[in-house]
Amino acid sequence: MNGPLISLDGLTKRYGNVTAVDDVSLDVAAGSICGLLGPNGAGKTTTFKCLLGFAKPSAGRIAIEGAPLTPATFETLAYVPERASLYDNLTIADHLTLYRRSYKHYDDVRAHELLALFSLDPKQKAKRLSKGMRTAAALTLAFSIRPRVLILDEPSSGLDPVHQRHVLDLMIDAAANGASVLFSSHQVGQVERAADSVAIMKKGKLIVSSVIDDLKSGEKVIEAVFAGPIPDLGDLASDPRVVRLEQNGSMLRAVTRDDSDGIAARIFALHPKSIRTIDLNLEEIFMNAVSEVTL
Amino acid sequence: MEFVEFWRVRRSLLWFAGSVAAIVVLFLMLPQVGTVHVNGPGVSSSFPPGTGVPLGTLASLAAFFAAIYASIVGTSLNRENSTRELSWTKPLTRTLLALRYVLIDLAGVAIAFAIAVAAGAAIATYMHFPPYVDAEAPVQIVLGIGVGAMWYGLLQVLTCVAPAGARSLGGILWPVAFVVAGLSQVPGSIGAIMRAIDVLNPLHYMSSASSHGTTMSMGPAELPADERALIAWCFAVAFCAIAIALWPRKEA
Repeated sequence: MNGPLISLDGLTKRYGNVTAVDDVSLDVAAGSICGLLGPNGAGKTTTFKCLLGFAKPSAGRIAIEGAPLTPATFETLAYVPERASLYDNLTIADHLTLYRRSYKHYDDVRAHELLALFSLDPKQKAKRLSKGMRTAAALTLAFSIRPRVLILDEPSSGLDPVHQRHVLDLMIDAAANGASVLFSSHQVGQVERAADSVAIMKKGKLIVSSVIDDLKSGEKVIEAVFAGPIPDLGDLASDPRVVRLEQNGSMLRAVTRDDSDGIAARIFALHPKSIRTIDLNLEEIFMNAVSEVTL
Repeated sequence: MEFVEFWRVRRSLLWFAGSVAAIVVLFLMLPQVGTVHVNGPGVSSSFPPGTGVPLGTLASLAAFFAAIYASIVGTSLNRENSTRELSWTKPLTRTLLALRYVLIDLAGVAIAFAIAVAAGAAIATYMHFPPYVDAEAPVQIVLGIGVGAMWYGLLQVLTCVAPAGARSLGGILWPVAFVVAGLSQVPGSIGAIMRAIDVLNPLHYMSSASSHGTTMSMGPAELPADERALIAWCFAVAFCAIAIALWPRKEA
């Protein structure tokens, strides 16, 4: 199909007077990885719950592969929750048997490759697994059905750095094979490495949704260090090209949009000891998006 | 997914069978008795050695064991709530999933009932009271499994959409059921209220004492066993249907 595999249109979820997800619209195309970022309580997990039918949206439309969610959707949709859900009294091998019986596309060879990748013993009962191993087992199950749509909530939670890298590689591999991946993470570096687009949520609202490269090219940071206290900045803070100004001792940081050279020239005129212009990384973009403190 | 419930029921039946077997062994260690006197409400009978025990009597006793087993498996939908991310992301409607769970559990209740009847027959045979099939046996079997199924359904309705802590209701329901049954005998408004509640109490339909072909209801309205069986099964089906309808609607 040509359209997005995951599509949210005006998704809203209210619990009483609290709006947990507020008019969120988001598309994830086939072969694309979207990283969902946001502080705790931003509404990421609630968005996933609505997406998977665990919670009924108050408003909006959800489509997976262009159609509303049905039980058949789950033949090709895999979900890994933040806290891996496993049957404690069953072994990993039992879980694989369960998946083999439940999914048409279950691939046993793939499942055993993944067990080896995550160093999991199939004879081990789920209740004996550490948090990281539970996550690894849940990921093994999710990828064993060769899904076209992957929804992963903190998929590297509890994993060591080596296995975290494996998870990112698996997502990239799945996307390369045409899958859509939507994953949340608190580790911005992981999103930057694996995702091609990013969505940032804050207080239930989607405040940024863009291709990462477009975001990076649009904004830059100018860092200036002064010999003494930072001089009077005049109306710099109200310059429309300035997204945010931060002062830390004798250091001034200006996040700019568009004409960064013009802003650099204005700061240079204040005679800083040093000045440099740096490309914005995703962490800066995230911090700018969720920060409420501006000068 | 029902595969998981098969595992659970099989494991719980093994535990149940083991416990019943332990009771049988205890009886086998007792000295063989002579005449057995049974004194129940409205019933007073003597069983000299060699007298057979009617299967209906064994079935009415086994109903208690079926209800005990129902208390174990009657929270299966509640238990599944903690692994909802696994079960609700399967290519299967949640209603069908719940229905399969209930059918498997009810099969377990019937097996538990059969185990209890078999254990009772073994003890009776050892005690030189060989069991025989009496006229009331079929209806007592239907009633015994029906009471177990009703207990199971009631527990499912009370727990299927409740938090995980509600699983303790499996144990709490027993004293509550006995208290309601007891207070329903009290005259006055409290008794009237309790009699109304007692209609939903599986104990109300259970046979309490039995001699040759004579069974009694524990409830105040001493209905014939076939009517009690019908009512118990109607409640069982209704409770299970409510639980199956409610469970998929629970939000995460």
